[in-house]
Amino acid sequence: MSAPRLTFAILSPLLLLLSSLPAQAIDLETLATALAERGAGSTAYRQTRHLGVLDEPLHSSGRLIFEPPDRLIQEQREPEPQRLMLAGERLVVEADGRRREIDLADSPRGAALAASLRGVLNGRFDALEEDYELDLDERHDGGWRLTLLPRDRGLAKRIRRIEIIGSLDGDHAAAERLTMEFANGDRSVMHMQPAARDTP
Amino acid sequence: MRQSTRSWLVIGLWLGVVLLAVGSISQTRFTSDMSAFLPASPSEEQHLLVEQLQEGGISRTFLLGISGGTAEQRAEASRRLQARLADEPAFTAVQNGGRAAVDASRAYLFDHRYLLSPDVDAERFTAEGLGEAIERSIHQLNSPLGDIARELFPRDPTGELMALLDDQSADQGPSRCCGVWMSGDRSQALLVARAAAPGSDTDGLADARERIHAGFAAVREGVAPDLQLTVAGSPAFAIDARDTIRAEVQWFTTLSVLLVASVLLLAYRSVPVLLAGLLPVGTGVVVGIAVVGLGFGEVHGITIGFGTALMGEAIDYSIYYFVQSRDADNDRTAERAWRADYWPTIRLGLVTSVIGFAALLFSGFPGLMQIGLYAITGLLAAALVTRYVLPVIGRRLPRADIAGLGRAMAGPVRALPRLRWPVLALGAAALSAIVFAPGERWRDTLSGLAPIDPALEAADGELREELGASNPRFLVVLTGPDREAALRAAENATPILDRLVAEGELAGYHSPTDILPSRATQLARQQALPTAEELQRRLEDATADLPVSATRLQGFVEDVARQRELEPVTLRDLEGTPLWLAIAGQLPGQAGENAVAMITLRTVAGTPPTDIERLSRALAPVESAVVIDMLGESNRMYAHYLQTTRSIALAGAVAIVLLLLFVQRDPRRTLRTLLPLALAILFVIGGHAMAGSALTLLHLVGLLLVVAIGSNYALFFQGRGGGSLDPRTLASLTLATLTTVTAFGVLAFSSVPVLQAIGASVAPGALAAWLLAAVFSDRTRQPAEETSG
Repeated sequence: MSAPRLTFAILSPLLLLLSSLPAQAIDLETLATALAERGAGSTAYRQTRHLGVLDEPLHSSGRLIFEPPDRLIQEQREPEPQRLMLAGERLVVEADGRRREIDLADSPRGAALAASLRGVLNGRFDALEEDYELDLDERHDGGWRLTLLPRDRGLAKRIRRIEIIGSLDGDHAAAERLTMEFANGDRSVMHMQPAARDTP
Repeated sequence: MRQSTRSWLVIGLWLGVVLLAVGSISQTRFTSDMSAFLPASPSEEQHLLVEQLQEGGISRTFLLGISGGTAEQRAEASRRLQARLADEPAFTAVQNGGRAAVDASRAYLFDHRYLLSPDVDAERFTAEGLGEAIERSIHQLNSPLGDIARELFPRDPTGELMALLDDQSADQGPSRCCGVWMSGDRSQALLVARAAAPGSDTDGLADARERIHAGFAAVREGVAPDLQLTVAGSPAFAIDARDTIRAEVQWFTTLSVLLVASVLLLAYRSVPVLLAGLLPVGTGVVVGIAVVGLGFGEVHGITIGFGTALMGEAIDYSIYYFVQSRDADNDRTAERAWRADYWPTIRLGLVTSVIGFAALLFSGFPGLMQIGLYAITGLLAAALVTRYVLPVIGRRLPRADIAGLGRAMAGPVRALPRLRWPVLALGAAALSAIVFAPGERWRDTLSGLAPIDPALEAADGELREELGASNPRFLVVLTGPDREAALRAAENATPILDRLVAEGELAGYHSPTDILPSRATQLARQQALPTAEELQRRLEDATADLPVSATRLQGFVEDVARQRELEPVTLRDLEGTPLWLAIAGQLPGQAGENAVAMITLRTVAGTPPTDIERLSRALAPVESAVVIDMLGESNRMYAHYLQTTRSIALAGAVAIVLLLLFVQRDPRRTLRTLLPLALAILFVIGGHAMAGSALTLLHLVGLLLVVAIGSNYALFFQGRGGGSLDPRTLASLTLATLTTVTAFGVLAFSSVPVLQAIGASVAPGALAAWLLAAVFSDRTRQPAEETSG
C-alpha cells in the first residue's frame, strides 16, 4: 500500500465525521439540507399582523402543511377558516366557498410571504435566492437566523426584509418564527410550533 | 367584295369588343376571399353569422402555440414574440397573458372600480353599508391573502376590486405559467394575435401570418433553436384553403389544358387550327370577366376557375365548327351547309345551357352567382365568335379531316340502340339505388366545402380549448339602435340567465356587460356615490366601532370623488388591454341599422343539446333577444341555399323541357332528347349513392354542366330533320366528349372537395350523356353506312 493511499484511508472516515458535526460554522447549504431533511410535515402557527391603517393588531392561527420540494398548504382556522395552497407556480385560495387561482409570476406581492415560507420550510433556498439576498448567522443558543433582503427594486418597494429564526438539532432544522417587515412599516409575525413530523 | 367587307367588319367588331373588355378588366378588382361562397343571407341572424364569419373578430384572430424547449424558454419566446408583433401595424392586438397587459387591465379596473363593480349602489354607500363592507375587508386582511388585501385596503376598503375580479374570473381565462398563458400541461405557451386586416382580406391575413412566422424565427434564434410554433385560428384555415385551392386549380387546369390541347392537336394536326379553336373560349373568358367585374364590382379568382370549366362547352363549339364544316372538296359550300344544318342545333344547345346556368344566378351565393353570370356571358360570346368570327378565319385554315374516326365508330354506335332496354333497366337500378341506398343523399352542412388539413384542425381545436376561446355555439344576440341600447338589453337579459344558471339549465354565460356595463348603469352607479364631504361623514359613522379610523382612509374618499366625475367607460377606452380582447368579439361594429351585443352561453356538459325553444321563451321579456345556435344556423342556412338552388335547377329543367317541346314540335323526339340527359344524371347520382358519398352544392353545379354539354350531344343525335348522322358530326361529338372527359376527369383526382365534386360529376356525366344520346338516337339518324359517307 502506498503512502498517499494509506493516508487517505485513515483520513476519510475522519473527514466524514467532521462534516457531520453541526457545531461547525453553519452555511446555507447545510441549513437547506437540514430543513429539507425533515421531509413532509405539518406545524401549528400563530400569526400577528401589525398594520398601520388599523388601530389594533390582527391575530390568526392555523396549521401549515409542507411537502418538499414545492408544496405548501396554509390552513387558517381562526378567525375564519380559509385555505391557501401553493403547488409549483400556482397559488390556490379557498375562502367563503370561493376558489381563486393565482399564478406566482403574476402576483409577486401577494405571493411573497407564501413563497418565502415555502422556501424556508422546504429548504429550497435556490428558489429564494432568485428574489432575495440571503444572509445567515448563528445565534448563541445554537439556533440560526436567516435574513432575506429583496434584490429587486420593485419588490423592495413593498418588502423591507424577511427574517426567519429557527433551531438546528443534529441534522434536522426547523423554522420557529417568520417576521415580514413591509416598506410602509406594516409587520407580520408568524410563530411556528416545533414540527410534528407527518402528523396531520 | 361585299363578302370581304363584311368579314372585316366582323373581325373589327370582335377585336373592338375584346379590347374594350380587356380595358375594363384592367380596372377590375380581383379577390380570393372564400366567404364569397357563403350565402348572401336574408335573415337578421344569418346576416350576423355571415358578418361574423367574414369580418368578425374570430375571422382575423390567429391562435399561436409555442412548444419545445423548457417552460422558461417558451415563456421568454412568448414575451419576445408578443413584443415584436405588438409593434407591427399588421396587428391590432397581440396578447400572451403577460404581466404588463394583466397589470394594465387591473390598473384600469382599479381606476374605474366604482363604475364597473356590480356591488356599487346607494345602499353600499350608506354608513351601514360601508361599515359592513369595511368589516369584511378587515377579515380579508387577516387571511392568507392578507398581504394582497393589505396594500389595497386604504384606498379600497370596501373590496371593490376583489369583487370585480371575482366577477370576471367566473369565466376563467387560459392557464398560466411563468408569467404568460400556458397550456394546462405547460407544453405550449399560448398567444392570440388579431390581424388588422378584415377576415375577408385573405391576402392581408396571409401577410400577417408571414410576419408571425418571421417574427418567431428571429425570436427562436435568440431563445432556443428547438422551439416550435403552431399557427391556427380561423384565418389560418382561410389562408390554407385559399392556397390549396389556388395551387390545385393551377396545377389541374394546366394539366387539363395540356391534355385537351394534345387531343385536339392529334385531331386537327394543325397548330393554327388549335389556336383558332381557342378563340371562342378566349373571347368568352375575357368578355365574361369584364361583365362580372362590371356587375359585381369585383371578380373572384374561383369564378374564373369554375366559370371557365363551365365554359368548356365553348371548346365543343369550335370542335363542331372545325370538324363539321370541313369538306375536302369545297370548304365554302361546306361552311354554308354548316350554318344551315348545324348552327341551329348548336344554338338550341346554347340556349339550354344558358337556362341551366341561370339557376346559378338565383343561388344566393355571391360566388355562384358570379360563376353563373360569367358562364352565361362567356358562352354567349363564345357562340357568337364561333358563328361569325371562326368562319372568317376558318376558311383559311387547312386541317385534317377526322371523318374517318366517325366512319370507324359508325358500326359500334349503330349497335348502341340495341341497349335501350338494358339501359332503361340500369336507370331503374340507379333510381332504386338513389332511393334505397343508406346514408344521406345530399350533404346539407357547410363542412366539406373547403379543404381542411386535419393536422391544422387538431392543432386549432387544442389551442382553442386551452385558450378557452372555443367557438361558442350558442349565443344570445341583442340588438338596439346603438351600442348603448344593445348593452342595456344585455343587462336586462343577464338576470334571466343568472336564474337559468341557478336552475342548472346553463353552465354559465359570458356577457360583455360583465366588463363593460351600459353607460346608463355606469351613470347610475356614479349617482349612487356620495359627495366627498358626505362620504367623509358616513365613513366616520361607519368606522366608529371598527379598528380603523376614517382619517386613514383618505385615499378612498379621494378615489370615490374622482371616479364620481369620470366619463363612463366605452369600448374604445379598453383597447390595448386584455379586457378589450375579452369582449370586443361580442360587440361587433354597427351592423347596418342596428348595433349588436352578444352573450355567449356555456351549456351543461353531458346533457342533451340546449333547448333553443326553452331559452327563447325564458328570454322573451327582453324584446330584442334572439337565441342562436351558430352551428345549427349555418347548417340551416346552407341547407336552405342547397334547397333553393335545387328548386331553381328543377325550374330550369322544366324551362328546358318546354323550350325543346316548342322548338322540336315533336314530343317523342323531345323525350328521346331528354331521356339521355335524365339518365346520365340519374347514373351520376346513383353512382355517388352507391359509393356512399353525399352530394354537395358543387355536385349540383357539375350536373348543370352535364345538362349543358349533354344537351348538345342529344340534339345532334336527334337531328333536326331526317337524314343520317354523318361521320363528321359523330367524330366532332366524340372529340368533344373526349376533351370534356379528359379535362374534368383530371379534376376528380383533386384533394380540394370543390374541384373533386365538379370533376367527379362532370366526367362520368358527360361520358354517359354521349353514350346515352347514341343509345336513344333517332333511328333515322343512325350513322350512315360507310358507302353513303
